[in-house]
Amino acid sequence: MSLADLKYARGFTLLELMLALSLTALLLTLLSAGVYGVVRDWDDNQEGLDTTLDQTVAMLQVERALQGAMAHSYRDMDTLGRFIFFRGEPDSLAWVSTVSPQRSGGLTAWRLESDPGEGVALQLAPALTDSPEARLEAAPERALLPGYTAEFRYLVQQGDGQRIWRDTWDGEQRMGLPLAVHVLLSPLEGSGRDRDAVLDIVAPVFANTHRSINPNPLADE
Amino acid sequence: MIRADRQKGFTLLEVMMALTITGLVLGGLLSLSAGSKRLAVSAQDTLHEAVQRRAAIQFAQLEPREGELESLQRPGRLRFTARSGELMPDPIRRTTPTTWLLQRYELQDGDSDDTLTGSRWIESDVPR
Repeated sequence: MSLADLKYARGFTLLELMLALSLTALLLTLLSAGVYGVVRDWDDNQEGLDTTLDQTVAMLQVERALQGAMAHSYRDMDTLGRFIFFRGEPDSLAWVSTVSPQRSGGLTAWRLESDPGEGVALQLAPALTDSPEARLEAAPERALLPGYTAEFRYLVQQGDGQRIWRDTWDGEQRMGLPLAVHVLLSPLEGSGRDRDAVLDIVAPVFANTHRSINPNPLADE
Repeated sequence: MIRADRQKGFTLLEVMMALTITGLVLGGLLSLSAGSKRLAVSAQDTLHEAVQRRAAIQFAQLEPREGELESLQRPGRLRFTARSGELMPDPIRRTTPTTWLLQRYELQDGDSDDTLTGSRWIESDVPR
């Protein structure tokens, strides 16, 4: 390179350099904002799909546990009477099922409770020969279906053969289980779901009488 | 103007090719993301629909009286309308009359015009 060449070889001016740098920075900012939006959208979709999958599996499991409900009897130590454990309220339900989650053997007491602010919570406890109520109370609550409220209904056959849904079912009084349980799940406000997108769990209870305790035919009166 | 001669930029063809390639890559990425979103949404809808259909089938099994398919459905707008069909033919080896009979039914989906068919037990007053 001769001296004459060096004289003509000039670099960028400061102005050009700054212009180029600021343009690059602007473009990078725009691009990264776009990519960030796309990635967040992707994550949202994936999370939504995962949640829906989990909840569907939870609903199926509840249905199975209700189908496997059993007329579990215990002796009340105060009165020495034998009672069937099944506490059905409009917003909560406790029952004993032959279906046990998490590979634990034996009978399991399930309790579902609908909290209007949070969702549907589940408690599980082993069902032994006494009333599982105290153990259920002490069991930790897990959020089973967050973002839903649940209403429970219980199918009873009346004396004239007609079947109707009732809001409550007291196993101690009726000495038996309902013919079926209906759980109506409605999305909570603010959960991001369509308010009309209600879901039903309908579970027939096949083993609804105890092997030796007869149902109380006068429970409705 | 020696200086102007020395400055040489990209040709129009080069710039357009670069822009096209960039556009194709970005478009491909965005359409991939859009496709995955559509897939995720439709998968969620399918899951909810499966739960609803399952419930409709269970509802239809609850009522053992003939022709009373919808009396136990949840009140409100019904997505599925139920129709009871004919009795199923007796099995060949059936020897004694029974009050429990198998009946066909149809569930018409009001949203998608699909039809689900199945059979359910009904209880008749007199043994057949």
